[in-house]
Amino acid sequence: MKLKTPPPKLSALFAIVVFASLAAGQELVSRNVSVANPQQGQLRQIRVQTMEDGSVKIEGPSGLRDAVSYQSADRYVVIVPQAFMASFQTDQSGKDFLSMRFEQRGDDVEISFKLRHGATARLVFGSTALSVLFTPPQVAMLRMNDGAAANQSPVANPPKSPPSNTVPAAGNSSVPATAVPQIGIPSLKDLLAQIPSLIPGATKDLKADFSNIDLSVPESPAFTVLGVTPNTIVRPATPRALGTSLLNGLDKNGNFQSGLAIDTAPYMLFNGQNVTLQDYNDYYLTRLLSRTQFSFATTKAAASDDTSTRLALGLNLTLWDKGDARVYHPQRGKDGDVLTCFKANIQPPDAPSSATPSASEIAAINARAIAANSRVADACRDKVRKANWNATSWTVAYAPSWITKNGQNSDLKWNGGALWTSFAYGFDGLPSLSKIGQLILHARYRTKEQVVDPNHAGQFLEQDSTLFGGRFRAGNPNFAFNVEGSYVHQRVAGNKTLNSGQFAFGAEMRVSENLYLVVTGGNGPGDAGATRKGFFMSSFKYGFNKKSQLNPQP
Amino acid sequence: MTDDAPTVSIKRTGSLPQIQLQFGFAQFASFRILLWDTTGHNPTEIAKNTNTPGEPDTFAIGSTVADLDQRFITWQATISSPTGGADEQFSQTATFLQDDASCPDSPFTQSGQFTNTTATFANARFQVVD
Repeated sequence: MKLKTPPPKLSALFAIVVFASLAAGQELVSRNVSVANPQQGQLRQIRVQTMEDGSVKIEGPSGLRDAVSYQSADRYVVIVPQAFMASFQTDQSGKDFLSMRFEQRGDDVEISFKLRHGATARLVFGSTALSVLFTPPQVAMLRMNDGAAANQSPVANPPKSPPSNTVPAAGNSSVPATAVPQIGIPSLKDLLAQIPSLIPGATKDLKADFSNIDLSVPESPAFTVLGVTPNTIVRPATPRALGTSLLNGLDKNGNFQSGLAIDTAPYMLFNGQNVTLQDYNDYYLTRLLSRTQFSFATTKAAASDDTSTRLALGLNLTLWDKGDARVYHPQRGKDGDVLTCFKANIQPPDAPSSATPSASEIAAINARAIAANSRVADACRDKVRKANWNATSWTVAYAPSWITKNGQNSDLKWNGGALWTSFAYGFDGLPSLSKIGQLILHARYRTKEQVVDPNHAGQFLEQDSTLFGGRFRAGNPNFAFNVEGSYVHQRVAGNKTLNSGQFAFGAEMRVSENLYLVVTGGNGPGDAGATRKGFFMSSFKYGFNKKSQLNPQP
Repeated sequence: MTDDAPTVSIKRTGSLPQIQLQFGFAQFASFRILLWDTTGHNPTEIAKNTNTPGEPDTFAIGSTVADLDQRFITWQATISSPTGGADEQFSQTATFLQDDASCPDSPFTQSGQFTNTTATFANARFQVVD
């Protein structure tokens, strides 16, 4: 397949970052950006003037204190982010530079100066404007030597005979251009922190929110198939409570009232007292039944003059779960198995002073035990959750639904249903992948779903749909990526069919301790059904973020 | 808790009694079983264990049946949820066995709802009957 919209300058972007990381940015000269960037969409107008003393003045709001500069071959480049120039004259020349050029790069303005042989330039921040000061070639050589003597850092030491086109520029000085200032050699950390500002088009704080494909199986399928989010869900603790809830959900004629929502694990409800850990571990059927969730919901039609009531049942079955905390895996050790950790750390309550202690003594003993062991249990679960984040599992859910037009149970008619399944594979048995990767495959089939009619406001269409989706994610604190895609086949009333696909990807690489290069792309839900053929990409972003967003490991 | 602990009747001619401790809802438990003298003091530990798979859940009590008359037994447990969900259920059942059968007045069950971790205490007094 061919990428129709190639990532712009991606290779150059990586090259810049890698170069900056490895070479400590010898040529990158800038200042710490401490002023918050203006919001996008509020570009600042700037003015550029060539002054009589040969310097160049750049005026704009707040003194443009977030501008940065760097040296590239014989050009000195100033980038003013979030700015534009209403008009400018290209190829101007000055006393100490051969030419000056302007370029609008996305939301940033790039102003570059071609320097005379051996000359240097630097950026001076004033209260209302920036000044680009130029130093003639002979003064520049003197500054280089002084700078080398002043700073013995092996990284920062410039060569004693620098190439004529390597001209460091002081970016944060208010010393007049005619003076010979000390060169402030930025640290590697500072240099890396400036990278986001130096790459035109890169987005700062890029959120990797590309993921929009729902590959989950609902825990309460009955609520999902009816499209309701009940305010009050009854979770009966005893069979009697379940019976009471069902009775309360019936009107005086024995018909279901709307707004009933019940969610329970029926096997645990009726037989939980007999399910020991030993039994749970010994028998697959016990595990399957214990994990099975049952849901039931009723809802009334949205229209006020519609008396119909819909009801749905739901079953969620976890067929396979290698991360089940109630299964004993002593071979995984205390950090990989909840029960092993519990066994090693959770203690019984202290012994009482006698066989017949007072109620207050028992209350105090139990309170101490609960407090101490709750912390231990939390720590165990947390450690194991992190270790087993990609445990292999397979879940299936099914939810049939019915409708009664007049609210009478005797008039119930089939109203479609839904089937979901997700298989998450943690690459068991593949040591190189089992700690860092996870593959999720998902399928969903739904019938008689009510969807908004795009051609008739306020009306709905009935559709059947099938979705296949997948996601692969892998990573560690230094590098992570995520690829996901889905294919949807829809059939709406009138036998009109629609096939569409989505995909998204994202990758991040840690550049420094708190700086991640992020690249995301794909097409969104709005592109579904577009008439384009083949592989296309409607969005591509690159930028930086201070936090890891894609590392799947918790 | 008062002196009137529930009674467990055991036959003088029967086998040495045992206590079986089971925990439902697939919850984890760390428990301690103590045998006390007839005044309710000077405990002897019968078991301190967990209910993880493979561990015993039944323990012999004392050395002779006659020696158990009027003595107290207590069992305590810390019960923790492996999944850590809210409003979970627990069930703790202590069954006294003699000659492979449940003793009269047995079993003793405690149950309820909890979040994360809970703790239990129960006691009984043996009465040797002919």
